[in-house]
Amino acid sequence: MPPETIRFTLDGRAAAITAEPTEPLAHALREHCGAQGVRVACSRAVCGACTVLVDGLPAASCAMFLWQVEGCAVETVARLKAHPLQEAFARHGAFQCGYCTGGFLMLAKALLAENPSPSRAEIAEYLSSNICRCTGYSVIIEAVEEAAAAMRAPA
Amino acid sequence: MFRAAHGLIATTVNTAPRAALCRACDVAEAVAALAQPGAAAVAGGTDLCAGFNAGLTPSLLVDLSRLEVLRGIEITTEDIRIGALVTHAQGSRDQGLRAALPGFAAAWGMLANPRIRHRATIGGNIMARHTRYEMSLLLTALGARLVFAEGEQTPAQVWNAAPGLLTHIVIPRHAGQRFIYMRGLRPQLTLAVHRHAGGGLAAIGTEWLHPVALALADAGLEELPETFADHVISRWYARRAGAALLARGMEALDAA
Repeated sequence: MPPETIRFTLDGRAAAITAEPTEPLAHALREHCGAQGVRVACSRAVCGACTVLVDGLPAASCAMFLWQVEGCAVETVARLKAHPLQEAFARHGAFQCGYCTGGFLMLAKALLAENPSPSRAEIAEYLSSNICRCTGYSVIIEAVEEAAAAMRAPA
Repeated sequence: MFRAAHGLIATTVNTAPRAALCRACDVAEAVAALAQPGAAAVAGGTDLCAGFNAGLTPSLLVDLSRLEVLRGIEITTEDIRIGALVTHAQGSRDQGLRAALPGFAAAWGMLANPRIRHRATIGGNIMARHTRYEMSLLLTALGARLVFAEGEQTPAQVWNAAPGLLTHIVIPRHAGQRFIYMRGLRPQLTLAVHRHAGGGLAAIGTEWLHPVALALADAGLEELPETFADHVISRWYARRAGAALLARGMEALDAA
């Protein structure tokens, strides 16, 4: 398959990758764009460590191909620097080994965009998409609750 | 990048040989491409990539995303027509569908998780032909028809027939149509109940068995096939638990 140049935005900046268009997106983001916050574990859309936002919606980047993001806005965990979610995760220690954290942060960002005032049950249901093998779910949920409150508060 | 020797660990989408790509611009081009040996359709892609871990190694990926005729939901007094590329999130939140057949929209919203729902499509759920994917069971209860570029099939026929290009799903509408899906016993057993003024159907399934349609009058599930058993549940259990679910579903529809 000859290489093609696929253009999209990555974390708010124009990006272009010249590669085989059937390359897995997670691999392409890591290898061509240095997006090391995109973690690959299961490679079958189960664990959620590779979660990114594509046009604002959560997606498993291990189960997408490079060509599928042509013209799209892709966001990775690098976009969340100094974001209330990042701060809340740090304050609550919402990670142990940290491998899943980027995926959880992106999923939580999608949740709060969809539902700014989720209940604890709604957070748990939404985040059940992703797996933390260190089983740190309680602190993750608490961090999302705190971030949601912070994001709702007037500036 | 590290590529493990074949057989050392499971193949993944990363380690499988790169496939060629066909970005189909119309239905005819997609049908022709899918007829080639080693071709695989890509709608949401969520099941396809999982398939790599199970040994799938397509040589040609056929991108369906440009086929706008496979998108959207149309509702008339006669039927509900759902494009094969409608995602779980789009379908379950569609205002027209929620008004026309709220029980089905609610059931659709239970499938998969939020990360998958935004990408996975109704067509992919059916054409993956995994018994643990639940759309086939829902559509069996609804008496739906699957419209392919090559002709129509029922959900039951798709389990055995060679697939072509699924373009849309047609759900007939009826007076007094109501629907409920009970999946609390999943993966052992799930059951959908579809009732309307002219009758209706129930459909029962498990994680490992093809869904079976049953008459609503068969309260004891006596017509459940003798072969309806797997390594987790017996037919006896399926009848007992299924009958309880059917009764519960009928009560819920009465109360709705």
